[in-house]
Amino acid sequence: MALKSFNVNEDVVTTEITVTDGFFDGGKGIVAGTSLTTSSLSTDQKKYYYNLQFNSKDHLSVTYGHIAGSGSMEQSTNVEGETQAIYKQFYNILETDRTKLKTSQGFSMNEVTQSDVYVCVAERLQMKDRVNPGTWTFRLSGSNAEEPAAPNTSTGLSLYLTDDSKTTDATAAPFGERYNIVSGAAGTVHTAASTKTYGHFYPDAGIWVMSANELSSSVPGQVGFEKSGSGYSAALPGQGLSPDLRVTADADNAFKLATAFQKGQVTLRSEEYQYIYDYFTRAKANEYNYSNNITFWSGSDYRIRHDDMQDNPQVYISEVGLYDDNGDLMAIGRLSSALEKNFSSEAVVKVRLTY
Amino acid sequence: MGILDSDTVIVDAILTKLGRNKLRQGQPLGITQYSFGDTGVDYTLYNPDHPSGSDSYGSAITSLPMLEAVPDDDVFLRSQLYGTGERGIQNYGFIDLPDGKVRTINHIPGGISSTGITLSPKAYLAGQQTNDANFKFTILDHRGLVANIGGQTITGNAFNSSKIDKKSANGTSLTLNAQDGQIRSSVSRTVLVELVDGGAAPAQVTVTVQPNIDATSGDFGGKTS
Repeated sequence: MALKSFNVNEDVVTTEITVTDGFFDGGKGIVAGTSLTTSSLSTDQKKYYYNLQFNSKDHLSVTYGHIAGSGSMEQSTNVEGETQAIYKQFYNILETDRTKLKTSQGFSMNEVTQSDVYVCVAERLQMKDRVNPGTWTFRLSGSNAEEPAAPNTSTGLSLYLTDDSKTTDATAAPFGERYNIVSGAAGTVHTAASTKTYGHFYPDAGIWVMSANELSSSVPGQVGFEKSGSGYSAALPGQGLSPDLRVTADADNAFKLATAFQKGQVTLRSEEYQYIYDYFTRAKANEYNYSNNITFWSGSDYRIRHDDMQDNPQVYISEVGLYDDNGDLMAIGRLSSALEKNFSSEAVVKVRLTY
Repeated sequence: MGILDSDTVIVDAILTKLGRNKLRQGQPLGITQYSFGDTGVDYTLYNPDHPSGSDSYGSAITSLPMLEAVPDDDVFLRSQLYGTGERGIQNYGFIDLPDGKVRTINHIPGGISSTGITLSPKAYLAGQQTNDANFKFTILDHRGLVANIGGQTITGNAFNSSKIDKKSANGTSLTLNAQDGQIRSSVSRTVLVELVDGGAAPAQVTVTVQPNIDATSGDFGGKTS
């Protein structure tokens, strides 16, 4: 007897756990905006979105949507603008009542339809199963209209955003929970959503939809930069999140959010559901006291190597194998040191398999 | 009064390649059985003359740090523990191969076929032949070969395949032959024979496979090899 069957009801215990980790490459949870770079995308892609990279890997994508297409490169009665396509795409994905768009209603925050929104999307590979709610902070940085336009004096405003999952029950979204984005940090609410909601956070999708109106009122930027198009630079002050509503290639509103991230800081964690299977394997006193190990015997007559083992064999367990019905080895666990086993002892080894 | 050690050992297991492949195919792992092994343990380190007494006979074994598991299902669990109460065993069981442990698959002159061989092992436990013993045959490299075990035909990868093709199956005997026109050069292959229920030292057969195709012309074209 080498293989022994489990009594599945008694010997196998399953536990579900949630493992959280820093969202950024290498498990980092907090990253300064200066470490985020915009990846090189084509002009056609930048009409829609920008990617923010950390360690040369995509982590966040940012975009801007307008319900009527304002801020698009091209928009007319015959052409659906890029920002309108973005707005409708995210609304259809994220909200339950898709008929609202037919009556020019869309994302509703502070009980008002938001005509335009900034959207941030987490890279799936980094967020794993979902973004960990109640622990994240976006520090979006820019300037206000009153700030001097002198170059290289970046004493701007910072807007701290988090979600209210620690204090407020979630609203049901089509695929999971939806929380309010509020001012605060790491789940600690500074101003409740009932007073001001900055947007909606969908942890299962890894998507933040933020009111352009609320962001621009907090971090407006200088008038001169509102319409400066793609001439933005993270090194310059005076930038903010007031959207450029002209239909022109210079509008480039998604880049404003990318810049606000680059001037600020991001604290973010991923979540992953894991299942732990504990298998209790037992070697009773009269079981598993001999070995097929080639050093267990010696000579051409296969004599047990040590005479005192003939009546009282000693073996040393160094590993446990888990097999399927066909006898195929599915998993293996190794002990840190060999465990002595003989007729006077029993061994219980709990084998933990996580996946 | 001291604090007792916990008597449950906890180990973290990893999936083998077979386990991963099963999950990849969307199948449950279906773990229903287990076994204990002692791969890496060297019983020559067991010292009945240890000056500290019987508790220390195996200290050289138990003190040795173990290697962690790897996903390859052939690296560990190669020597397993067994036993259901047997005691007083002086000589270990063994597997005998009456036709020898060095065999040759010969090319049949004038064609591209070969003459197969049959391995019919016998198991001896406590000096007695065990009837109806079930063996596990493992062909370490099955490229270019075809096997039949218990009525099941197992065809290996092409001879020139870059991937070593290890195959295992259980039965009472193994018939092994070269695939027609596959063997481009003489090769040596190894077959491990183990008793499925344990209790006998495994045996190893070395099989030489003669070429059954001319590597330059593509076949033997009626020539003799």
